[in-house]
Amino acid sequence: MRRPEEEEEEERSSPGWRRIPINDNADLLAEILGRLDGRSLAVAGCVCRLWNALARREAVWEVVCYRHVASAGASAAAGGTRSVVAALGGYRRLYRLCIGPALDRLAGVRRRQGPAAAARHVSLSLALSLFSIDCYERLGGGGGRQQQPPPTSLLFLGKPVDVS
Amino acid sequence: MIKLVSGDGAEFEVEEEVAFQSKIIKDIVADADDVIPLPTVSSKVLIQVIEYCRKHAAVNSFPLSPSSSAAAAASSSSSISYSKPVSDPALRAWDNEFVKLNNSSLFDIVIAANYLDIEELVDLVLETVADRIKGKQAQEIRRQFNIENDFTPEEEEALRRENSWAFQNN
Repeated sequence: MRRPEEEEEEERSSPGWRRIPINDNADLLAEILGRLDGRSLAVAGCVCRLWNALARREAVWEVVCYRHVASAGASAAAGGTRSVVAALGGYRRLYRLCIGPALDRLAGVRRRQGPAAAARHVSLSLALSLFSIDCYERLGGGGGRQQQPPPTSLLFLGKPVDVS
Repeated sequence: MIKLVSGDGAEFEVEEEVAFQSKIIKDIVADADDVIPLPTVSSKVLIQVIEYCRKHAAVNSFPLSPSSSAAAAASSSSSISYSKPVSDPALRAWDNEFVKLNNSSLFDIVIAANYLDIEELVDLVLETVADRIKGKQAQEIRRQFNIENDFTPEEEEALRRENSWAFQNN
């Protein structure tokens, strides 16, 4: 996947080329990252140290998550939801475990049978519920002794299933 | 008329409704005078920003047609989206042409627009830059934006493993 380094060098050393100031304004950069989809955001976190730090910000992932699960009451409930999600491992984790896979699956569904906005919303709500259950199991089921069902037990529901 | 003075000393006379696309200028004019120095904005960038403001001031000064205002109402009442898309299709097409610039010029504009508090323009440019990042590999992004890879190979490998889900094509 690596590209020849020479190309990069050539661009950088050409005379009179001002450095592009994308990394000089971290706030604007964070705004840009918040407009990405989750997958692109995760990749963006591998660009350099600054991007990595920004792409780990919970606030950025929160924006990304809410773009997908926004509902009428979302902004009103955001205060309460934030603390719950934080307690359960954060928005980045939420996206990684539930919203991302759900979106991937829905993209496949949409390709096959056209838009299904209602199903999409239900499915994403389900993703949130599964996330909570998973975290609850970790809290309750752990307790020092190893239980037989692995901590991610119910997350199998996040795998392709026909919910229609 | 309001006079804007760029960092390199060029003066631009613009109508109030054009200049007032910038909230900052609106505030300044409210309690000071009509000559506004903008020391951090070069004339090249200021010309582009004024062009944008002129276009948007002209469009915004006409009442929306019933169909487009209905569309605007529908889009604002549906789900929360990160940005408010410009509802007028002709204006949106104009915006799309406006941002056909290299990354360096776009950043100059967004920094100026941010400083001048022209929300729609900031939004437009950030959205455009985000679109240029989406779906690209890290190395492509570095090349495109001229960013140095400051990770050690070990760190890079660890990140790749951590984010392997994002690298899988789906």
